[in-house]
Parts: sequence; C-alpha cells; structure tokens
Amino acid sequence: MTAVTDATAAAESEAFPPDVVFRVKDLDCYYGSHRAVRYVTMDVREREITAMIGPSGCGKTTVLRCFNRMNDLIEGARATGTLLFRGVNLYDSRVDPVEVRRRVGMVFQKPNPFPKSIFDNVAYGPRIAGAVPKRELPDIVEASLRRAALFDEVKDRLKDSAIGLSGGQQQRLCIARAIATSPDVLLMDEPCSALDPISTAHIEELMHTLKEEYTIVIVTHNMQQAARISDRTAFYTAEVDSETNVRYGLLVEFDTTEKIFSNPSDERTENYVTGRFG
Amino acid sequence: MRLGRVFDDRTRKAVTSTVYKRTRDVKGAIFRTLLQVALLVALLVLAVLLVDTVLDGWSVLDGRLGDFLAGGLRSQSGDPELGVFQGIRGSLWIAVFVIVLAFPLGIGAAIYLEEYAPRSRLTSFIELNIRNLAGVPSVVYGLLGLAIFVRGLEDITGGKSVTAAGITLAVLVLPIVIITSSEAIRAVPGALREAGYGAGATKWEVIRTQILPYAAPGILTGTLLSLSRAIGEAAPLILVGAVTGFLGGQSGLLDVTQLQERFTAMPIVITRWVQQSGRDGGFATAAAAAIVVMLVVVLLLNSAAIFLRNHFEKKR
Amino acid sequence: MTDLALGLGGRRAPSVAAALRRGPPLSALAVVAGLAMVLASAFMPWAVRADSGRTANAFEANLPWLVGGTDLAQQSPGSFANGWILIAVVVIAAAIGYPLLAGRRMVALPLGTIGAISSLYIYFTAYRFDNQFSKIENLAVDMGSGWWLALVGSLLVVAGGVLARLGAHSYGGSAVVGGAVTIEALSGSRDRRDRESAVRTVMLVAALASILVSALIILALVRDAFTFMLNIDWASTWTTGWFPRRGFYDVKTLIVSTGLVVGVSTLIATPVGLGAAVYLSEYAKPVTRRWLKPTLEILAGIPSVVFGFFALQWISPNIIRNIDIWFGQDARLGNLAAAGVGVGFLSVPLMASISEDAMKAVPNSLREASAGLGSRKVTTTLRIVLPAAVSGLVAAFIVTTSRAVGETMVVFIAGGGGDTAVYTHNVFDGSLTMTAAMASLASGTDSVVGEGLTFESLYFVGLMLFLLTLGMNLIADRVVRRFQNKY
Repeated sequence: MTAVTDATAAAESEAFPPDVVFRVKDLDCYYGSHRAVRYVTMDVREREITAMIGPSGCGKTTVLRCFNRMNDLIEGARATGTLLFRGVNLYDSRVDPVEVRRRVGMVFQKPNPFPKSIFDNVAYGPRIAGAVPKRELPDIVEASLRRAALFDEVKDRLKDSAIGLSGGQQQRLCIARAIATSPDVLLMDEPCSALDPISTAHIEELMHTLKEEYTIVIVTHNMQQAARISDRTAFYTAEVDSETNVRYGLLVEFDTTEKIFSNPSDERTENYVTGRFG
Repeated sequence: MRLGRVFDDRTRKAVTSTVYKRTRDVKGAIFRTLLQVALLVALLVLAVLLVDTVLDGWSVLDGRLGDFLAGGLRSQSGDPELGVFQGIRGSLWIAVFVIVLAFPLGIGAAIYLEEYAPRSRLTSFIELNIRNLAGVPSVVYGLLGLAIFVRGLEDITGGKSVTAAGITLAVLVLPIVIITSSEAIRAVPGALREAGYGAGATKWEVIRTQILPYAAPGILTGTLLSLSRAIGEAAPLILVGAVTGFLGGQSGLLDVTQLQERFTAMPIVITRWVQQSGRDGGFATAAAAAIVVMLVVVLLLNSAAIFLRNHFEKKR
Repeated sequence: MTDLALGLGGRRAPSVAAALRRGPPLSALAVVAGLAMVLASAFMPWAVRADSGRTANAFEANLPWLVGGTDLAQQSPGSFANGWILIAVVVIAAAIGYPLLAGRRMVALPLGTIGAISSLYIYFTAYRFDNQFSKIENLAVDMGSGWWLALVGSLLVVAGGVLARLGAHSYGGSAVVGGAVTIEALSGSRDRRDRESAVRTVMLVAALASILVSALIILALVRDAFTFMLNIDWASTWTTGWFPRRGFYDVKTLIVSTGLVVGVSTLIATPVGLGAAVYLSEYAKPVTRRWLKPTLEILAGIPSVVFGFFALQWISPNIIRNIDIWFGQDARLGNLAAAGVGVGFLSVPLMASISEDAMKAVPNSLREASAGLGSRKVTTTLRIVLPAAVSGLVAAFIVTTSRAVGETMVVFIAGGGGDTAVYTHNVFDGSLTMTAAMASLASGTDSVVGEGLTFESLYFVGLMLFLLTLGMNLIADRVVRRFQNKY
C-alpha cells in the first residue's frame, strides 16, 4: 500500500461522521453488462433501523447484498460508485469480503438453518473465525440465543437438530447465528415474508430490542412493517430505460420514515405508500 | 336459468350414457402389455443369469469353497488346488489404487467444477472433456495404460504390474467419480451456501463444513458404484498385461512387494477359464463359481450404493 | 504498521519475530527435525549385506535407486545420481516449507504431502532393493540406519504438517470482531487467504488431471497409430480377413462384425430398454417403482465378463443355436449373434435409465393438459410425452450404441473369434470386432509380439474405435444439451 492511499483513507475517516455506518453515493449495481440498479445515495446511521421498500424487481435486495458483498457470489455481479463502511471503501481491492461478512451479519428471506444441532448453528460463526476458546462457546451461544429471544424455548434441546424448529423459531435462530459473531450491522432480507403473523410480530419485537446494540438494514415488501419498525426508509422503484428498453431499479427517495409515509416529496413515493400501485 | 330447463330428457340420457359408458381401451391395454413384456424380459434375463450361474458353479461353491478361495491358477480344472486367490489379491490391490487415486482426485475436481470454476471457456472445456472421457471405451483406457503406465513409466510401475493396472483403472473411473460427485454437490441447496457465507465463512470453510457433509451420501454412492465398476472391469487389464496363464510366487494378500510384479485379477481369471472351457469343460464350472464370488462383492457394493442414495433421497 | 493497529485490527499474521517471541510451534520443530533427519540419512548406510557387513549409502552406485531391475554387478561405480535425487527432494521440501516458519501455516499441508510421498517412495524402493539383492545374489540384506532415519524423518515432516494444519484454527490470533474498521482490519487474515488459494489450487489441479488424461490418451493412440499408418502397405488393410501376425490387417472384417454385433444389440436394447423406461416413468405405481428401479440398477452393475459367460454358456446354446437350426445352419458355440444379444442385454439398463431421465424431464403440466382434453394414457404417452422427450431418447440411443461399439469382454468371450478372423457378414459366424481384435492381440501370447506392425495395429484399431465413439458421444452430448435447455 502506498502513502498516498493511506493519507486519503485517513482523511476520509477523519471526515467520516461517527454515527454513519454506511455511506452510499451514486452506487450502481451491474449483472454482467446490465446496469440493474442506478443512482443509489443514502446514509445508514448507527443504532437505527433503515428500511428499504418498493415493488418487486426494484433492486432493494441487490443493494442490501452489496452491504456485505454477498453479491460477489453471483457471477458477473459488480458495483460501481462509493460504498463506505465506517469510512472504508467496501469495494477496495484490499478488502476481504469474508471479513466484511463477519462484521455485517445477514438474515435471509427464508429461514436457512444448517442441518445441524441448534448449538452448532449458533456456534458456527465463532468456530470458523477461530480465536474463541472452546470453553467460551457455550456462553456465546447462550448470549446470542437470549438476545434473539429464543433461549428459553430451546434451552433444553440445544443438541437437537435445528430443522425441527418452527419457521419463526428457525428465523430467530438465524438471527442468533448472525449475532454470534458480534457484528456491527445486521442485514435482513425480507426476514418475515415466509412467516405467519404471530412469528412476524415476534421478529419485529426482537428487532426493536436489537436496535439498542446493532444497526439494522431491512428489506421488506410490507409497507406497514416498514412504517412500524423503521427509523428511516428508502423507497425504490423500477423503471424502464427509454433507450435500451431494459428494466432497472433506482432509489427514489430516502428520508425519515415519518416523512416518507406522511409527507413524501416525490409523487411516485406518494403513489406507492398510499397504495395506488405496487 | 336452471340446467333442467335447457336439457330435455333425451339429451340428458345421451350425456349420461356417454359418461357412464366404459369403452374398452384396447389400444391402451395392448400398449401397456407390451411395456410390461419389455420390463419382464429385462428382469427375466437378470433372473436366468443369476440362477444359471449359481447352478453352473454350484458343485464348486458347495463342495470346496474354502479351497477355491485359497487356491491358485492351474492348468487342469480337476486340480484340487485350483482357485481364485491370485485374482482376489489383484482385484483388492486395484481397489486400493482406485480408492487412493481416483477418489480424492475425482472429488477434488468435482468441488472445483461446482464451487470454484468461473463460467469460462476452460471450465466448459473441462466439463465436456470429462463427459467424453466417461464415454471412452474401456479398452482404449487399456491402450493408455499400456503406452504410458506399462511402457512409459516402467521404472516406477515395474512394467506389467498391478501398479500399472491400478493406475489405469483409477483413471478409467475418474470421470464417473467426478460426474456423480458433481451431481451430489449440485444438489446442495443454495440457501445452505448463503447461510455459510453470511456467517462469515470463506469458500473452503463453507465447502468443508456445509457442502461436503450434505453431499457426502451422494458422493459415497458415486464412489461405491465406481469402485464396483473398477473391480468388474476386464478389458483394460488384458491390455496392460494381466497374466492369463500360470502365475507363480504365492505372496500374501497384503504383501507390498507384489506391487511391481505380474498380476491377475478376478475378471481376468473368469475370462481365462471361460475360454478354456472349450478344451476342458470343468473350467466352465470354475468360471461360474468365480463369477459368483465376484458378483457377491460387486453386487454388495452396488446395493449399498443404491440403498444409501434412496435412503437419503427419502429423508430430504 | 504500529502495534496499536495490530492490537485493534489484529488481522495480520504475526511477524517472524513475533512468532519467535512466542516460541516456535511444535509443528515447526517437528518439520525441521524431520527435514534434518532426511537430509542426514543420505549419508548414512542404507543397506547392509549380512555376509560381509558391507554398507552402502544413498551415494553409492550399487544402490539400485530408480533403476530397479538392473543387475547390481553391472552398475558402474561413481554414479552419484541417486543421492542427489534425495537431496533435491529435501531441498525443494525445505524451500516450500520455509514460509511455515513465517507463520503461513497453510503451506504446511502441501509440505506434509511431500513428506508423505517421499516416505512412500523410500518405502517402495527399499523393498525393491531388498528383492534385487536377495534374488540375484541370494544374499540377505538388512535395511541400514539411513533408511530408517529417512523413514522416521519423512513421518515427522508429515506429522508436523498435520499438526500445523490442525492448529490453523486453534490459534488464529484475532478476536471475533471488534476494533476500529480500517482497511487493514477488513483485509482479513493472511493465513486464511493463503489457505483459500492453496485449496483452490489443489482443486484446480485435480480438475486439470482430467485434461491430462485426455491428452495422454490421444498421445498414446496417435503416436503408435501413426507409425502404423506411415509404414503399412495399405493393400493389406483390405483383404479377406484379420491375420495380424501374418501382416493382413483387413479393417473391413472388424468393422462389419462390429456392425453386426451392434445391430443385434440395438435390436434388443432399444425395445426392451425403451419399453422398461416408458413403463417406469409413465405407468408404474410408486410402490412398484421403488423395487423395480433398484433391480434394473443391479442389472447395470453386473460386470461385462459375466454377460460374456452368460452369452457363451446360456444364450448361445439355448437361443441362438435354435434359431440358427431354423435357418438350416449349425452355428458354433461362440458367434456374433450370441455376443450381440449379450451386449444388448448389457445395454438395457443404460438405455432405460437415460430414456427415463428424458421422460421425467417432461413437465407434468403437459401430461395434465393432455389428460384434461380427454386423452387416454396411451395417447398422452405416445403423442405428448415421447415427442417432448425425443431428443433425450435419441441421445440415449446414441450413447447405448456407442457403448455397444466399445464393449469388449462379451464379444471377446462369446464372439467366436480367435486370434484371427475371416471376413464374414453372417451373424451366426464367429469373428472379431474391433474391440475383440484388440483384446486378442494383447492376450494371445501374454503380450503383444509378432511380425512387423502387429503391435502398432493395436493402436491403429484403438484410434479408430476412439474416434468413432468420441464422435457419437459428442453428438449425443449436443442432443442432450438441447433437451436440457428446452424446459
């Protein structure tokens, strides 16, 4: 590494406000040559829940998966523009995506526990990261399960397979698994879309408590959910490129949730939140 | 408007009679019968083959199985020391080579192709190449073994030795191992991978902790099938010079010195005896008995593989 | 980088100095000791003659290292090649092993492999050495201390490698997460990245092995086949029979008998295999399927020698001869028809399984649509399912045929050919197919000998066979790709 980039990085981090976790500026995401998402600019703030809403195919999930570089796993996917994580450019060539994912945990749309015991599921992250002595693992697992409000339900069957849990329990297990590596941020990709209303309420409650320690970014189809839980909301929509006739997603408006749902500045946002389309 | 008013009685009768009339589906019945006959023929052949072979070899299997397993190649079928020990020994060592060489190489290649390989020309070329290798006749592998492992690498393999034969058969089943392992790895749900990566695992960690355990039964099935294929394969062994006549030197089953010496194997013993049965009818009985011995091993391996696969398919 | 950054990010591998301060890991000690032992062993006695007590080390010329099979007495003194090979192995292992001490533990894995290979090598050559001595001079030879030292040293290297590999997880040195987010902190640990790329390389090498195999096949075939083609009198490839040891290589004989066998086998395998597949895929109840499929797979697992035996001992006397008598002929026990029937039954499971896959790939909605229009099952099967699966069925046919062309043992045993064959187009005669000709060339006198180009003719036939089956497989592959893309 050269002194110049070091100096730049230092300057960047000095100027970087401490309460901003992610700073996105003019982010474009590509699949191959297809520019799938365009002009994303937003700040994700510490200990807040940031929701991303919009109709299907508008690129919410794509942007979310940039935050921990999960998109790297899709062949041909890349991103241009600025995506700073606490002042560090996430797409810098020196950044190891694996390291990013340990600090930015993710919860997926469908609960996807490993076909292992409940204990092993939660202990997975700390184990592969190494550096955690074996005797500390039970404490980490218990703390994570407690934070995910699951411990009391499963404490007697930690050695049972995680596949036997209900859908809602599985999703909370996945949250416990994600926070076991004590990440900085939790990304949630429509975490409730596969769950029943009661489990959804559970998860939403959980997110409220998790907010005290973690920064959460959530993608949701459910406008009410975004309105209930989030502090800020980003509204995305899909449009058709007039020249190439290709659909792409873009960020329309990003503001406090209150503003987005009561007094949006963009007409498209208003149409969407009042249920006129989508 | 109610239906009763539209349909008069006559129409209703006609409709009823059509719906309830059971026309005889002659064409369908014939077709079905033909299909059943086809299946029956296949099963019948299997049954006749097994029964006929066991009956042919019964006098040996019933009378002197112990001596038969411990005996060696002899020129007279009446020789009380006639047996398949050398064949078993050769096949055992071939199996060892297949396990040591083909399994790790094949599974490694499958992991690369399914998990690492970028979608490039090279990758699709490797894949096409593997599919073609799976279709190359086994005699051609024999030629490969003869040219490269027997003659080219004589210093290492010791010429027409069990080493050369083992390497040849390992190469022969390599594409099968790769293809079946690839299929098993491809069947691992993507959600499992994502979960692993999302928890901060590297590629190899995801493979080691999630993908391989999940794909293990499928991979095991493929490896068992390929092992049984290698044990039953004869053509390449003839080419790399398996001994079809007398074989001296009775070294033990696990003696390492034989690795660079002349060898024979079960399918070769069988071939030789079948060919000699024209001259000396007793060899037909011996061949049938040897077939039963080999089939027991091969079919056990196959059944284990099939059972494993069905068992785990049902569980998921 | 400052200590502060190390403490906070803590993701860089510790420097050599830092590692030494902590005390060298056990694994590194084991590896270094092992390497030293292997190196020293080259100079110690490797073999001791029991009668005279004379010893030989790795530099002695009379150690038949790599040149096994050479008479000890014939070797000239003063050849140092053997010992240098050993030293080279050690130096390369050490060079690769050096980064181990710098904290890059993943390198220990290939290092361990090298140790294992060298120990095996030593093991085998020593055995051979032992044999040579005893056989030629009837002397008792003991393994010298050098041999034992090399063995123990190699094992130590392996053990060290394994130890380091195991340890790679237990002391990673970094906290789970925490600390400032800096570019260094996000760069991950070098150990981990090294391990990733090492694993990737190993897997890539495994995948490339298949290309090496193909290259070797082509090389092996082409070299000797070219010799044949350059030197052959082409008139001798178009005569009245296949008499390789007399210099008559009538290709026509082999091709026609191959065609006859494949033809008979196709007549059996296509209707039986296809019928079984249609029944399994469209008609059989799940319960029936559950035991029928495994049974067919068992049939698929039966080695071809067994079918050879069956064709010669059962099919030929019980079926073929009866048919032949009908034609007013009297077939020999081994004949092309019997071999063809044997190959046909051998191919049934293959035909059935590929065809069934093709039909299973036809979406159920098509069947439902057809049934919804009032078609009977037979109509749905014949008009909807089979046409939709046709490319898969064609591929199944081609693959089965290609397998029949390449099938060796059934034809070799039951085809009725000896070492030679006279041209025939009568399916009830015995003759040699391409594969059977190759098998008999190789087995006739235990090895391929004969006049002139006999040996090369083996490769010439092999090349023809290879190209023929390769072409068929490529076509089948194309067809299969097409049907996979359709749904």
